Parts: sequence; structure tokens; C-alpha cells
Amino acid sequence: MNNRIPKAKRNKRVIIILYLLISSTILSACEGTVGRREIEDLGIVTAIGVDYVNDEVIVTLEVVNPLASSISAQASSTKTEGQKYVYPQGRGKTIKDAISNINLYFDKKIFLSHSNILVLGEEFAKRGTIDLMDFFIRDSQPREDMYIVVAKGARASDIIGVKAGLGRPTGTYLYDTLNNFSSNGKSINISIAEKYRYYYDVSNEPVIGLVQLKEVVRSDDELKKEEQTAKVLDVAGGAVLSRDRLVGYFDGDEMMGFNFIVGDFKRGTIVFRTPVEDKDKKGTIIGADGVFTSLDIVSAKTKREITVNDGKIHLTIDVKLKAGLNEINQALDVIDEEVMTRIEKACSDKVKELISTTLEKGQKEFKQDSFSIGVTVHQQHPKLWKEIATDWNNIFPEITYDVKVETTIVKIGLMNLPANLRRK
Amino acid sequence: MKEQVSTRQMIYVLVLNRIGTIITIMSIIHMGPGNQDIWIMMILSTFYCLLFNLPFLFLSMRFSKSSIIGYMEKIFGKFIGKILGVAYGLFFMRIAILYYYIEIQMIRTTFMEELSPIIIVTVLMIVSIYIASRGFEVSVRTIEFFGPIVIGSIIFYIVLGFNNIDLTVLLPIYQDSSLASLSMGALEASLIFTDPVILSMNFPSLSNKKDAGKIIVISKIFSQLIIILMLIATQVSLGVEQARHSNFPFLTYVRLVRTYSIFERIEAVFLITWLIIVTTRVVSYLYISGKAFKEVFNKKDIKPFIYAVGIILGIIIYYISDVNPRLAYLYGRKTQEYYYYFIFNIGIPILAIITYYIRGRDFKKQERLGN
Repeated sequence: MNNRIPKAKRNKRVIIILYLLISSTILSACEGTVGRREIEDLGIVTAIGVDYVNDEVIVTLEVVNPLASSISAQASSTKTEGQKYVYPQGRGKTIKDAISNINLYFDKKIFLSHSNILVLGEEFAKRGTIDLMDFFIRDSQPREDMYIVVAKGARASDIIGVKAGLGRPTGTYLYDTLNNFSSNGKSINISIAEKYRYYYDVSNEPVIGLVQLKEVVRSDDELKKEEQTAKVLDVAGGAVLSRDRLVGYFDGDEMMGFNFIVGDFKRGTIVFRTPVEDKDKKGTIIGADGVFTSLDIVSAKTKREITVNDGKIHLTIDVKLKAGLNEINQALDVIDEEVMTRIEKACSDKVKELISTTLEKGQKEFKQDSFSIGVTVHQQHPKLWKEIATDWNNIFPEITYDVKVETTIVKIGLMNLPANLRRK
Repeated sequence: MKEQVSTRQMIYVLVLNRIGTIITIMSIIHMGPGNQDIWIMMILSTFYCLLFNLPFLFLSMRFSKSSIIGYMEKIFGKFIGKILGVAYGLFFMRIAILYYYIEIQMIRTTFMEELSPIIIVTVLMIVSIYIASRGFEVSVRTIEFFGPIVIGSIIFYIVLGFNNIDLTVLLPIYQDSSLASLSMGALEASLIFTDPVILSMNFPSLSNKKDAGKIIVISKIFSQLIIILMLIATQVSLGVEQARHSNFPFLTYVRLVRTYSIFERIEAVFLITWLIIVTTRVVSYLYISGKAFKEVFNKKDIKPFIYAVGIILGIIIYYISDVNPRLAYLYGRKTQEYYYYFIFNIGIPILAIITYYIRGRDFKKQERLGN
């Protein structure tokens, strides 16, 4: 029996084997020599801080040491070897230059793709950032969904390195804290991509998140012996930009108002006082009567309407809230329909106040539209917008507005009457 | 053995080709009014696309056994027909170069920044030459296999980005644009697609030629629907202006996907989808270009032409990728591009139809003689 393989078939096999060999060599070359990224060679960055001092960019990075867990503190030969996070800093004329300069003394190759936080120093934010921010959207390593915050009253380098969470790096700690935005409404989490989305709107001045260094008294007995206070990062408030320059801040309450105005309020607690006349007429109070009521907002819908009368622009903000009674310190009979209506009205009044205070600040103090009201004018009155678009920041401080808020309490918790009230 | 392509396979080829035109640099966002009304412009362009397909459809139905090169020779005579054949061959080569160049740019800028272009060009070219040399039937079978996966993946990416979507970006509707600007944009958008040429070049391989109209309508409407979805998702996530600033807008959109901390950083998965689309697209150009030259030179075997065209493409692409880059050409809007597309997509076939009717008696005589 002739077992010989035909010549054509043999040639084909040789070609296929050669092709596979060449392909695998080339592909392994891609991994092995050209674009090699082994985890032990990378400096995985979890947070980036940028400052601008004396015409020089200072970049501070938080870098994870992936080998830290495998090296015990005792076994490590140097102080940094056993550390989970290190904080190299680089200086340069541009962001890229500063990052590249870090690698002149830092052994791991800087890898930015895992950073979720970009902290801008206050001085840098006041100077204007847009020119130096180009790197973060042009280079493929930094993520466009990275949150961007301004370090209020501080440099970014003061913020990077603060670990107040459960011993986690600043990047993760800050990222998770900012993500709580959906449950408190006092802050804002804006990514680089979102910042640019607002930035490109001619009429709109962006508001981005902020982070503030605060000192709190330690409760932990062990740690208290070493240091009485601890540093934490507080994200309440928002940084108001004029184009790309920092011009001021909204505090936590003003940010609640801001989030209501722009329709981004997801969840949060509204604390207010409900004045109820002659509430102790029947002598039903059996303990101390408190002052405040807390409602948990479970959903908020904002509608904005622009009307034009005699060439004057009028804004109507219509907010509809659904809330749950979360805490009531006052001796109020919450199962009484009339009382419930009063609580709802009091909550609505509080939200109106929050909205008006913030809008007032935007109009009188910053004299610019940070609320995308111009975008609403554009959407609802496109013809008028064509005439006024270029002059919008001069028109915005003069527009009139009214706020309508309607609160509906949809749940009252596990109790019907508060503890300080006796059943009639 | 004569290659046979089914209606379904051809629809997939054309749909993927049209999506491939948009998915990388999404040039349509710069066309017409360049604002939030681009989706209206794209709906309008569907009609132009269908209209612009008519000349080639007419010619293909008349000369159903010939590709473009074949019937151009019959209509214009051997000499002019061969010149036009070479011109079409070069036209396809040019498109292949352009899309390979874009492909390499995207790989170098985003996924493998440090990888030498010579390696990318070599690997891509070997793969493309291999697939193209196996014949059109093999290519379309591959496309038929990957088509549903690719289309499903794109819809999946669009759905995953829902939390970045702000549909108010599309407001006001049809207030900042005029019908004229939308029409102009729709015209531009319909010119950049080359599916009519692909269909005509492979018309003889169609197993059911009567389905040509159905293929055109289904492929156009289906692809336009996906393109509009991609466009809207990108614009409402990035904003109109930021999308225009981006070199690869849909990739930027995919990079923003972060859903329930499960689906995030999915651009590596997108890379696979994108590579399949772009490679199948480029393979079809490589094949058609080889086929054009094969018919011009009256040869039976297409492989030598595919090898030759592939090697020439590889050298040119490497040259413009690394030695003498043409970045401004890639990302800038070039009016002459539209002239090229107009000439090859509409101009030449209309001229051929006119000549066909002028020379009507000759054709009838030839038909009687059985030629």
C-alpha cells in the first residue's frame, strides 16, 4: 500500500504549518517585546492629582503595589516595598511631560487606565484647565468616565494619599464616596466626558464635583493614642466653572438646589420644620417636642418651562417629588390627612427655598448660567435663541423665575404616630 | 466551479459593508448641518441611497452574467471598457488603502499603542489575502456566520450605554437646520457607501438574481437603522460637539459604558466586533479589486491578482502609516472624495445607461446573434 502523501497536499500542509509558526512568532512578539504589559512591571494608578505651581505642572499619582500583599512588612527590605500604595510625583511643562518624568525615578511603568479619579488643585482650577486637560481625552490610557473634582482650598497633592475609608486607596475611597451622590444629592459626580459635554454648550458653564480635606476627631481608642484627629475627604458641594476656570463653589445645600434645577436629583433627605399651630391643644404630647422632620426623596422629576412675555424671559421650574417619611421629631399626628398635607407643603417650601437660593447665587454672584437654562431656551424657543445665544450670559442674570414644588408622601415607615405623641 | 451567493449572504455582505463605513470614524456627524438633526439627515439619505443604486441595478439586470468590468466593455467597447476596469480596480484599491489606514490608526492609537505598524500591516494583510484568495463564496460564508454576532453585539453596546444617554441632546428637532442643509448632508452621506458597486461586481454570483431589488431594499433599510441607532447613541452620550471632536466617536461611546459595575471596559470586546467588520469590508475590496484586474486582463485565476494587489496595498499602507503619514487626509473633510464616489457610484453607470440606449440597435443585433 502506498502511504505517500501527494506532493500538492504535502506542500499545502507545509505552508499551513509555516503560516501558523510565523503567525504565532509574530503574535508572541507583540506580547513579548513590543507592547509588553506584565502586571509586575506596571504602576497601576488609582487616582491622579494635577497642580499648577510656578508655571509648572505637578502630577501626583496614587499607585498600587500589586506585590505588597505577598511581601510582609517585616520581610520587605525598604520602607515602600511592603506598602500597598505609593505616591510618586512628577513635574513638567505638560501633563504628559510630568507623568513621563515620574518614570525617571519610579521603576514601574505608569498605567493610567484604572484611575477613576482626577483631582484638580484649586490654584490650577482657578488658572483654567482646558489647555492641559487635552492629554486626558487624547491619550487612550486615561478613561473618559473618570470623575473629575476640584480640591477646595487645597492642592491635589494634599488630597491624593488620604485614606479615610476602610484602608483603601484615595481613588477607590473617593470614587465610592462620589457615587453616593445618588443617595444624598449634596454633591455631583461628573466625568471628564460629561464635563466636556457641558463645556461645549456655548450657553452653559459646567459645575463639577469638589473634594475638601477635613479633620474629624478619632473615635477609635487605639488610633486616638497616636493622633487625636483624622483626615477625611468630604465631597459635599460643587465647583462652579466659567468655561474652564474655577469661579466659586456651591455648598452642600446649594448643590441640592442645583440638582433639583437641572433634574439630576436622584435620592436624598430633605430636613425641614413643619409649623402646626395649637398642636398641643388636646394635651397629647407625652415627651419632648422636637423641631425637624426628615423626608427621604424616593423620586424627583423636574420640568422646566420658558415663557417669553414682552421680550422678557421667564423660567418656571416645576418639581414633583415622591417621598417617604423618614424621621419626625415633632409631635405630629402623621396619620391625620391635614397634618400630612402640611408636612408635604413644608417639604415643598424647603425645596423651593433650596432652588431659589441656588438660582439666586447663580444669577447674582456668579452672573452666569450654570444650570443649562440656555439649553432649555434653545430647545423650547429655537428662533429666539438664535438672536440671544451670544449674549446669553448677560441676559441670564435678568431672567425672572418661579418655582413650583409638589411633594407626595408615599410611605411613613414602621410607625404611625411618633413616640412623643399619645393616641387620642 | 462557479461561485454561488445566496440572497441572505449578499444582504449580510452589504449590511456589514455599510456599517463598516460608519463604525470607525463616523464621518456622517460632520455632514450637512453637523448638529442634533443628523439622524433626520440619515433617514433622508436612505432614499438617496436607494435612488443611487438604481443605475447599477439597471445595468446588472440587463447584463446579469457580467460584472461591472464585463458590461462596461460591452457598452463602451474593449478599449474604454478596459480603461474603466482599471479605474474601478484602482478605486477599490484606494478604498481598501483608506480603510486599512484607518484600521491601523485606530489599533495604534487605542489598543496596541507600542506595536510596530509593520507587524500590524503584515498580520492584517496576510489574513486578508488569505481570506480573499479563498474566493468570494468563502468570504460571504464567513460574513454570514459573523454577521448576526456583529449586529447583535452593536445593539448590545448601544443598550449597555443607556445610563449615559440624554435624549434631550436631540432637541430642538429640525429647528437649527434647513431642508437644504439636511438634503445636502443626505447626499454626501449616501455617496460614501460603496455597496452598489459591491453588489454589481458580484451580481453574476447571485444564485437568485430576481432578488436584487429585495437585497438592495432590505440591506439599505436594515443598515440605516443600525447606523442611526449608533449615531443617536453616540451623540446623546457624548453631546453633539464632543462627538465631532472625537476621531473614533463610537469607540469613545463604548469606552463610556459602565453598567452595574459588570459591563465596563468592554472596548476589548468591541475591538473583536470592529475587527471583524473592518476586515470583512477590506477583504471584499481586496477581492473586488483583484477581480477587476483579473477581468481586465482576461485571466481565469484571480489569486495572482489578489496577491499582487495585497502586496502593493501592504507596501502603500505601511508607507502612509509610518514613513509618510497622511493624518490630515484621514480626519479632514475632503471635497474631492465626494467627486470620486460620485463618479464611480453614479456618474459612470449613468453614462453607461445613456450609451446603452444610444447604442440600442447594436445590442439588439448582438442579442439576436446570441452574444
